[in-house]
Amino acid sequence: MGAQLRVYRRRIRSVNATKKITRAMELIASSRIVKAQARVVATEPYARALYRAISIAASNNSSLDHPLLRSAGDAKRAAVLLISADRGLAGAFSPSVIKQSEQLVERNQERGVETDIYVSGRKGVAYYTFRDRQMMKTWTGSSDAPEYVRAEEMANELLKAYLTPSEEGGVDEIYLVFTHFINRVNQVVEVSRLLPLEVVDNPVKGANVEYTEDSARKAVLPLYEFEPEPQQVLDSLLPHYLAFEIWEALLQSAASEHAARQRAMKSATDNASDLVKSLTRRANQARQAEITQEISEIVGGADALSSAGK
Amino acid sequence: MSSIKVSLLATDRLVWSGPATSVVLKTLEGELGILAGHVPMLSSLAIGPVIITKDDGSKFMAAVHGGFVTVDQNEVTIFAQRCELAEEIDVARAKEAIVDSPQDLDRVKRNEVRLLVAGKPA
Repeated sequence: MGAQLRVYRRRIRSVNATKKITRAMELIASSRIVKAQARVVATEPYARALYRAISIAASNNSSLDHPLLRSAGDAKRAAVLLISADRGLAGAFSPSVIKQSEQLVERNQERGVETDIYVSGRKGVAYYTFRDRQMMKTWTGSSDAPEYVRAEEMANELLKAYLTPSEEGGVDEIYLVFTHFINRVNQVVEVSRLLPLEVVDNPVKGANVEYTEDSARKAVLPLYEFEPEPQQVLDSLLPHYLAFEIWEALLQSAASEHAARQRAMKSATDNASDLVKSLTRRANQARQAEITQEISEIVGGADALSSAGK
Repeated sequence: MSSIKVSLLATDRLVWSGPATSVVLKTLEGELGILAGHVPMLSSLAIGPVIITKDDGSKFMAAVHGGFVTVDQNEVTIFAQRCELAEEIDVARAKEAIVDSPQDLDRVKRNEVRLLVAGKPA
């Protein structure tokens, strides 16, 4: 066999082996999206109950001078929690989150606010470590199947920084950068401010349900009894809210990570197929060239023999 | 007796929901029983059991580790960071935890509630 042909055959074998791997990863990712998506959906009833409780507590606190509700005013330091992935091979998933948070840091700098960076996910950590940038705190190891305990840890850490006065290195604002899972083909990076909370008159998320007699009656919150005092209930509600928001962002990011990986692996598989196809063509060409050469050698040889025999 | 609509939520799932005649739970200020017609209320929960008496008289129990309850027009919503049902509780582990760290009162309390819900009080 000619050297050329052997080289092509070997490359085809290697590309096919890679294709098998990317194909397997694609299938695994697509089966995990379903599970991750179900976890996102499962948080909805809790989210409704929590937002309702917060709006009840906030609307009964006439003063609203709670530290977690204080207005940002002139912030000096901000914290950003960046949620990236632990593993790569997910296309632009982690890079686009990192890009957004870098833009946020830049915007903050323009208005004279320093930004502390908190990172979840190995890819984000690697980015900042490589550039020798300081991170306040990092979490790695469970980006594709987050646990609530992790979200609580993050919330506690951020809250600690938030409740420290900015003169002592505390922060005045907390931002969250994560990937919002809209559906299997559509995920967008979202930057949201977690704290201070923006208190609007009716902060019940998802309250834009169709107008009925019943919903109208419910929209007007009756006078509630609090146990213990409204202030204390709000005190314990808000950290809880922070942990829950982070938890939800973690789940959304996990689902998005799987979707991004599925897409990346699908295009890798497709590219491998294309490559195998074009390599096969070239291998065939090389084989044909070899055969043609052999025939012409035989014919040439026979010609020479017959002319010599004369 | 008129009934109330109860839902018990954890961060990651709907634990139980349905009609019930009464709910007994533990707030930061003590035990609280909720029957139909209770005033609207919002309260922080302590570590403790939640006991729901269903319409048919049978009881449903869960260990709740902190959380909140809202009562509004005969709708009771209990939501907690952590919520465990009797069958999810590892009795041996809970007992061990109590013996292991008697000085960690919070942990002891949590595990006592677990055992109570599992029907094997220490």
